Amino acid sequence: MRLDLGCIHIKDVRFGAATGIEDQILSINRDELISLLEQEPLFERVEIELAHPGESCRIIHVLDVLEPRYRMNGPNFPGALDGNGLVGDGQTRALKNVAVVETDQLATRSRNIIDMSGPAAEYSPIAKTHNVVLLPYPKPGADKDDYRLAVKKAGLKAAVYLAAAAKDCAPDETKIFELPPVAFNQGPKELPRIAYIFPMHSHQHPTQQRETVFYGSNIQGFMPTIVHPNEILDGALMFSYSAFTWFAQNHPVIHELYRRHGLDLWFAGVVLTVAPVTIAEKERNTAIAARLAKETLGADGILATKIGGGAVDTDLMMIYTRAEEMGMKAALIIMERYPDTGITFVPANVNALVTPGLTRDPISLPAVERVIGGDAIALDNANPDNSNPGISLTPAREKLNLWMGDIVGAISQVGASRLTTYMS
Amino acid sequence: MNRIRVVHYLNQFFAQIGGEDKGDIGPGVKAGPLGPGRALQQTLGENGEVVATIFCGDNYFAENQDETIDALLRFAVEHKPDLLIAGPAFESGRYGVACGAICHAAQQKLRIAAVAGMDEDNVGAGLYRKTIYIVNSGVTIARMVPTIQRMAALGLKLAQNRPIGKPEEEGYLRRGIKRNEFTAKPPAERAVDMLLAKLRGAEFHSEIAPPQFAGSKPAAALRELSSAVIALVTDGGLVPEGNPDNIEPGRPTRFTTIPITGVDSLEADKYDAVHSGYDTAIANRDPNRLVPLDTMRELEREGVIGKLHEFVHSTGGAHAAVENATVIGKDIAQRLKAAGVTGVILTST
Amino acid sequence: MIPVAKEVGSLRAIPSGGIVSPTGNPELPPEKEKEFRRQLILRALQTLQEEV
Repeated sequence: MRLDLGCIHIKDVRFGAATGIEDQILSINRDELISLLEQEPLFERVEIELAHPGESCRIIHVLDVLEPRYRMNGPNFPGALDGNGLVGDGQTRALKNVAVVETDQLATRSRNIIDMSGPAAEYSPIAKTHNVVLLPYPKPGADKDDYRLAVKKAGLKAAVYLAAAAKDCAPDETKIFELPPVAFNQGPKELPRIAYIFPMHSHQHPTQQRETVFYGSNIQGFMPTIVHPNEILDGALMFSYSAFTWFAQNHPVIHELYRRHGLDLWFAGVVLTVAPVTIAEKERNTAIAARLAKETLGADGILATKIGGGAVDTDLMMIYTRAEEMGMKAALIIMERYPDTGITFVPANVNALVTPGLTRDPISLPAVERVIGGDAIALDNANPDNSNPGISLTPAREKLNLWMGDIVGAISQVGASRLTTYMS
Repeated sequence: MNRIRVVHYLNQFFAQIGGEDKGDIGPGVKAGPLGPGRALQQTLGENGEVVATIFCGDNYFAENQDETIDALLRFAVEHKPDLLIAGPAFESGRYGVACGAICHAAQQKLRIAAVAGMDEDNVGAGLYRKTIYIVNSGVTIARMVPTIQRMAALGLKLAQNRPIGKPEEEGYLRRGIKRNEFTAKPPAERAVDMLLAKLRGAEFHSEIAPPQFAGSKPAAALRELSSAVIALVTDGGLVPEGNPDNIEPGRPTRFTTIPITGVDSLEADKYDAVHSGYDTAIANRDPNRLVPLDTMRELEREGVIGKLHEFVHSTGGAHAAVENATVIGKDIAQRLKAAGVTGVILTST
Repeated sequence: MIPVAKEVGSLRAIPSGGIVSPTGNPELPPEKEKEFRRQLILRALQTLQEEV
């Protein structure tokens, strides 16, 4: 299956009379987009703001981030936005250097933050995109969970609406993602076959009934399965929490495996799974996932990453152990959380770990001129550990003492970051 | 940039008051630099000013730590410091502990930057290296000037909120705190590199070291069970009804000692389980499910074991910081050993 | 949590009756539960007599 991603390299984003792209400048008809999003019954009204790289501007209460995408022959985000259908083939337009940033106007304790300049900006790719920020205000009495799902859907709508402006544009660059069916995907014997095992969600935070994670499904009871990597890149997957969908659309591990396919490795494919909550289910799922990599994808080695909290470290360690028992080699990307030990559980047999960074590394962000998304953050500025239950609201415009993990995109569990850790 | 206001802590010797004989003098203050403070001022140059020197006799500090720290901080505050520099103490233990303590207090209570200096084997280093920056001075006073220079450089960075480099670069003692640093290769690329190296049989280095638990050597096997003194210990948070010792349900810092002489079974209305990490209802209905006292009494009567130790030691194990757990464990172990206990059954939730 | 115990160097560890009742089994009738506890403790005492 082959996906042609036609990329438009956007240089600037402005509000204008009509939505369109000219000379790599995206104009947005603000009222038209607002009208589109205000169709959602749970919203009282919607505001849209723009934040540009380099501005003294802070976006708070970030819920999700998306890259504007438009499938030339549909469907867009099937099951979640459009009706059912499949993705990962044909032609998709992508607006590069632009991101749709959703803010949650009912967030009480969110510390997800983007600074468009200053120290935080150095760490996050979302500080380098022109951000179209959505502020959907809920109708009074709106259910919190339903409202959040509506905000996520609004993000999808906006992402498609903006990228649709590129429908008649010739792409500046077309990236080809092509991988044949497994049975025909034979490479030279010298190149090791590498599979990617991807627990896309951890049910320690169960999904809502109507939540749309994979092809519109709430993935409860999801069993490990083979998917085509293009499906993850092309809108089949929306993260529920702990990660931003932009990093599925631009999945670093999938990109890396594609990049090196035929060079020093052969991309065997992707096993998609979830992290369940009981030990018995974890054992079952991780064994099945490893088996799929070995006996269906014919992998010599596997990489695995996680989405979620510390509980998923267990699943990764199990995947690793099962894989090596089956005769494959394994390596894991695991986010570190604790300044004293990084992670808490490393069995003796696990010797190949990569860190995308340590979340609880303190960072001070300077005061900014403009804040989008709210006025205050729930933060004990004197103690970013936030272990004090009586957290007060700190004006978001001020100097903030946070963790690096609070910066959207600074440390991504799927392996995007320009960080490693050391013991000081 | 404004000149950083520095207060310098010295002991009686370096403050040029006297030697060992003057170790009992109480806390004092003088405007401007004293003794090695002059080298400090020279190093700071235009970037900082040693506005005051606070000092105290090493013995006095050791014997009156809390009041002395309060007094010294009060002296310091009058000079509106941005930074506290303490020492260097080299290998002088009492002085090192004082430097560590005053820096720690300045950081916590005055919320200013603080840097101490001492040798890495100084007692003060062991106590304080995790919470404050300690520049390694080595043992010889001949290293005074380079040490002061490093302390000043590090202190200025802290006071100016600039990023702090690695221990090897800045000269401070490793604190056991992980930090992030930039690197050119993204993790996805490094992971693929690592996996391919592994497949080739080439050398590679895992990026996350397994957490080090200072393991203990297991004791030799018990010889004679029928004459052994066995103790019961638990991390399930067993407490006498009402939790008189206030054992914390999470992040415990202490344990409780429960006397069980003449007690044959743990009755539900006399004991509780206090623990945030598990549902204690079942243990509360029959505490023998948490600490098997009834069974142990039977076995004692039958002569299977020699004697059941007269105390149950108990704490909670939820989110325990490794350090606290280690201290608690050692304390309990020492008491049991002193009481002639040779075997322990630890019940864990 | 035996894997964790072994990780930190506690080598003499035997499976308990579970997180919420380490030396009990509330599903059993009282007499059988006491027998369960006795067997568990005897196993623990046996472990103390083994070299590790």
